[in-house]
Amino acid sequence: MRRAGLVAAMVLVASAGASQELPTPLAILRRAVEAPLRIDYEGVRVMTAVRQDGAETVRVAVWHLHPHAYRMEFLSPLRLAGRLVLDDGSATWHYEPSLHLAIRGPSLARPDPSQVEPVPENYVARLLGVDQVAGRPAYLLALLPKAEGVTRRFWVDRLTGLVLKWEEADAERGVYFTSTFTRITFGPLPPEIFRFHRPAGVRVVELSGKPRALARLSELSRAVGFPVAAAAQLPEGFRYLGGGVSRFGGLLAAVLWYSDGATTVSVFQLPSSRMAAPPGGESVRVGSTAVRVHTAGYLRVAVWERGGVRFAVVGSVPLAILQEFVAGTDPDLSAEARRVEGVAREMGVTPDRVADLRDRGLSFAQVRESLGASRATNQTAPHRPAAPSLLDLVERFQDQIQPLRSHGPR
Amino acid sequence: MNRKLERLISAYLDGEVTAEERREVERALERDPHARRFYEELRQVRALLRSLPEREAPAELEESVMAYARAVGGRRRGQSWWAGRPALLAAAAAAAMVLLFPAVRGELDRLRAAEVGVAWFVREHTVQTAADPLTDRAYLAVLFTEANLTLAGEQPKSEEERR
Repeated sequence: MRRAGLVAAMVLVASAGASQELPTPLAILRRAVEAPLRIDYEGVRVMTAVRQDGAETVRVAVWHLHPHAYRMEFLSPLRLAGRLVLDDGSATWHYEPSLHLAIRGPSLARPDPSQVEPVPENYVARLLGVDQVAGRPAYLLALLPKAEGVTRRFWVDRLTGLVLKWEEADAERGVYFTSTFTRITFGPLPPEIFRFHRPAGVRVVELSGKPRALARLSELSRAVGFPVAAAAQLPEGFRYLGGGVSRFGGLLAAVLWYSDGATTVSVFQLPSSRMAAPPGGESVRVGSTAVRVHTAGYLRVAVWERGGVRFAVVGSVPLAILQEFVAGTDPDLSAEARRVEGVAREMGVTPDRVADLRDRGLSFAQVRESLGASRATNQTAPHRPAAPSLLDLVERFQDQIQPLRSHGPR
Repeated sequence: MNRKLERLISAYLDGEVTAEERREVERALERDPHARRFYEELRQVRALLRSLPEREAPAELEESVMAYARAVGGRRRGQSWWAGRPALLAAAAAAAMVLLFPAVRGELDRLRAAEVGVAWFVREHTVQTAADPLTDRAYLAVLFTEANLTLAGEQPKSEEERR
């Protein structure tokens, strides 16, 4: 039935296309990314996500005041009903009425539009047609990964550009997440409803803010007091975004962030003398390494130990991508030094040059690519403007995200 | 026995050793009585710690300990105050073991960290993913708040409890 509707809508698009120019898929995506920064709305969302024991459907009432304020009241299932999340763009209040508990933490409401820059490189964007969501016409847009990864479909409101419906799928799990507005209205909202008024007798807990961001791995190693390993190889399309120091009580971990433009993966590292293997999870082998894979909603968390370091990689990605992160992260400093020497010899540069690029989070393949691009640039006519190298892109990317990372409570 | 072997035995108990490391540990356990003793102690400590329910000390206990401390402070030296209080002596010995024996205390911290490790990683990941414009913020809030509760030492009431 829905498929028939979609086909009809596609026919409608085709016939409309003759008289009216349709926006390109990337133009729709750009508009969708920027929409929450300029519009206000309130509505009800229904989300269904895989869990370890099947799937769970969550209903939530959402109010959004542009650019960064959210109010979310969870309606069902019963275990979540009554939960309130208030985010003013600088901090989040999580109120749990059944426990008389309020938890203050960092904001979740500051998307960074520059983060999607690598999307055209790693995904094919396609406009599949026009559909209806919550009674509103929407462009149906697909992002198809060029390598193994997550396929996304977005239903983007034709008038406002807001994403009205999400769908995420991978080859292993099929469709593992959907989220759709069942009702939505646009218009100004009173700022008052985004402020948290602490009910009498409620216990307040402060949980740490955003990790302190440090782009260079050497800085990160100094901050955490142990050598932080950069991934020697990365899944196709993933780049190092930056790193940070994460704290919980007396625990201190280094965290490295990677992205392919649409999916973020976090890699945590701390001495295994500070944390035993988390209980539970499914056992998986990656080469000779024993890995436990845990799930939290649609997220997967792979935890392992190597060379006295406890590693964890977190993301909503196929298991194969997590396994590539496991295989590619080696804390052995002498093996790292040997590979640096080898690549330096191969590319005709000093080991310091290679070590510097590794310190910026590049994998060995990306180091080769970057040095190869620099060499090619040097051999071309000097007055011709060179295309940005991978390193230029990484640096530009890190410069753009740095102010956003620095924002928020520590 | 060296620290590397201690670490390997600990990883062996966690089930986190390679096939080669497993053989190395098993060879050491066959040959080295110190390694066997370390393995056995670590195994017992873990089993004991895992079996203990985690409860906060009642406020009255803290008050009575402070009252005892004040009383001890007021006594003359040489008086055998502990003699008539075997239960308190045992509790103090256990507390001293936990506080003063770094290996036990370290292992306790390590296991506690493991209990909250996944929630900590998930929460930190959701905070970072919030910068990603193609992520559904409402679902991020679900993951974030679930991890919050675990880290705050709370669990939401089950469906049955709420009914």
